[in-house]
Amino acid sequence: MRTLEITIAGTLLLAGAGLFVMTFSPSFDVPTFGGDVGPAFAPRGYLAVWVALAGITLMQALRLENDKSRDPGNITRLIGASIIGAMTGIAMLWVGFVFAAIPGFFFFCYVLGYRRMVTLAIISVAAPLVIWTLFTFGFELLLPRSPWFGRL
Amino acid sequence: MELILQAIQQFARPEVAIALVIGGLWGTLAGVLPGIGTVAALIIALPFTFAMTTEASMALFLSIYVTSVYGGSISAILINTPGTPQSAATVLDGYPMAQAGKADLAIGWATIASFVGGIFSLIILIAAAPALARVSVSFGPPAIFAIVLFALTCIAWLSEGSMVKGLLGGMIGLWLTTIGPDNYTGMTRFHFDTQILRGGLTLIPILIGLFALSEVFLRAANVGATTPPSKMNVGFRLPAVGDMIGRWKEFLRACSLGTFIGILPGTGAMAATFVSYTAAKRYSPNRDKLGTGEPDGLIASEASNNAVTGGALIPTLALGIPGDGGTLVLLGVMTIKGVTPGFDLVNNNPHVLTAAFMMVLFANIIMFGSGMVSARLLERLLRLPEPLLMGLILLFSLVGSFVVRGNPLDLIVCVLAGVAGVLLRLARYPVAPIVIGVALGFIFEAKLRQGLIASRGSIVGFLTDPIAMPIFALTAVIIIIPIIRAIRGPKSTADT
Repeated sequence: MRTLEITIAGTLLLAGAGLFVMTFSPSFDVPTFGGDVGPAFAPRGYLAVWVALAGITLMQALRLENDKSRDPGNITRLIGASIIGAMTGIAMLWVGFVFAAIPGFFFFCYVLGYRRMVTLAIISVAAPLVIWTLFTFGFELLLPRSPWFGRL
Repeated sequence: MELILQAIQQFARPEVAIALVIGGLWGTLAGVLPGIGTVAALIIALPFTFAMTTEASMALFLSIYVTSVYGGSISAILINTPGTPQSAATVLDGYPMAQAGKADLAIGWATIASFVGGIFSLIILIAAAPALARVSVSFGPPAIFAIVLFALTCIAWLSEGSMVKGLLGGMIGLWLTTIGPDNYTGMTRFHFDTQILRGGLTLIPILIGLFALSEVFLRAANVGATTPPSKMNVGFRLPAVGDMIGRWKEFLRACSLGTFIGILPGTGAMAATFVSYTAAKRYSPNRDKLGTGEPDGLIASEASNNAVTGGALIPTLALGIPGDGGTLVLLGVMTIKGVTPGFDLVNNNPHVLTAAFMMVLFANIIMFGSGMVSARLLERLLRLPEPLLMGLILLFSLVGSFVVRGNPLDLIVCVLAGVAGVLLRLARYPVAPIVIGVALGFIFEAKLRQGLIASRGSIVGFLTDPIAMPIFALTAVIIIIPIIRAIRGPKSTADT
């Protein structure tokens, strides 16, 4: 976990510094309505504090001793679930809600340890279809659509 | 009395009563489902009002407006996901309470706090609508900026044990609100030469990603290790009367803050919730337990966010100035129906105003029933095996982030926020400050810049504003006291 803390603090420091420098680029130099509060005013302030705090956090992380008593749980399952969840969300933009959610739901539950395959298969198809019907016809809110079947 | 009788005549029609009940149930459901929220719930109901009478339309909308704010607390308590942004602070104590097997009691506290908040603000609304509406417009950008700054100080309270990380999260949240168009100059900030970022980010996908998705992913690593929903005692249980009476100061503080902030146009329920939670952290006798499942935290959050509903109706009905997004839609519907809020409503149609007050009262009563029904329904749903339940939360989270704007960016942001949330939580960064930063960032920058533009860049205008000055002083005290305590105290926190 110490490595993760150092990595995150370092990444935040670099990102904050990069964004802070960006606020001095010519694109931010636009006429204002007075008061010298242009579009860079607020982000520059936020990012200056961000960089300072990230620096402190990095220093703290570097001084940290590795705490082996902290158990994050089953990391493999965490990574698997995160990847499937993220892929399901992104895939919705390409194949629509229903066609992304059916395999996404199935594999997500499988990774989480659900092994009653017939039940899982039925729910994996039924749940996305029910949600899609509820939002599309009940609330009249369109969900991400596939390129093949109109609203589906 | 004559006004009340006239109002009852308008009110005592079957279609109005039905509209109130349907609005109450729909409002609660919309609040429970993450991503729909008050404004979307009102907009979804909008087409139905074209076939309804003016009174029934008002009843439907007022009922949705009141109950949707409450509904968000149920999902905040049960699945660590605020159904509406206004319930973001409810997760802090509601979810730990549910984890401790007292979900029914947490819902009971949230319901009673919401009810008391709604009724309190209604009484203020009835008693002082015209006068308070006049006062509210005297709040300029410095005063509203001061209030938002005060609300942001709760980041420090929510970051105990890792204040630097909490403050860093708050800054990240504030910066995220600067992505996209700058309303004052028209330039687009931080778009990184991509079209998709030019529209900017919104709160909902970030909130859902950081709270719900990251929770679902983290639970994957510990399936069976955390309290399964079936062991949370999901249901509806009101706290003991003595316990409620014993916390009257918490109720009064949260209700007063919520109503007052609700009156201020454009401040919103989120600011009220965080201001109220900060005040509870400062003044509650149980302040040390806040964040661990303390009812005072639920009272601070839920009484204030529901008190905002009555408060926000004051400028909406009395001046025609919407207090938040929900009242903006309400204003639109009333105008479509030929009722012009403002001077005309207060002076020429006071019976309509009185009817509106009564509708709000009944909506608050309906909220009780809809809360009980929702809790029972969710009890059955939460008996599902944990992997299936997590899968359903994943799908609803993704849907919830998309439907607000129908923008693909929101889905991407939600997923990224979910993954970022997992990494941050593993590295012991609190995620609530990021959400607070995003929730208050837009109004924070807007009021700061408005005030500075008006004073030609001088901060003297802020410091000499008679309303802002005491709020700044209070904010300074709240920031300085913990620092002094940390320096003087026997236990110095190395992290701060």
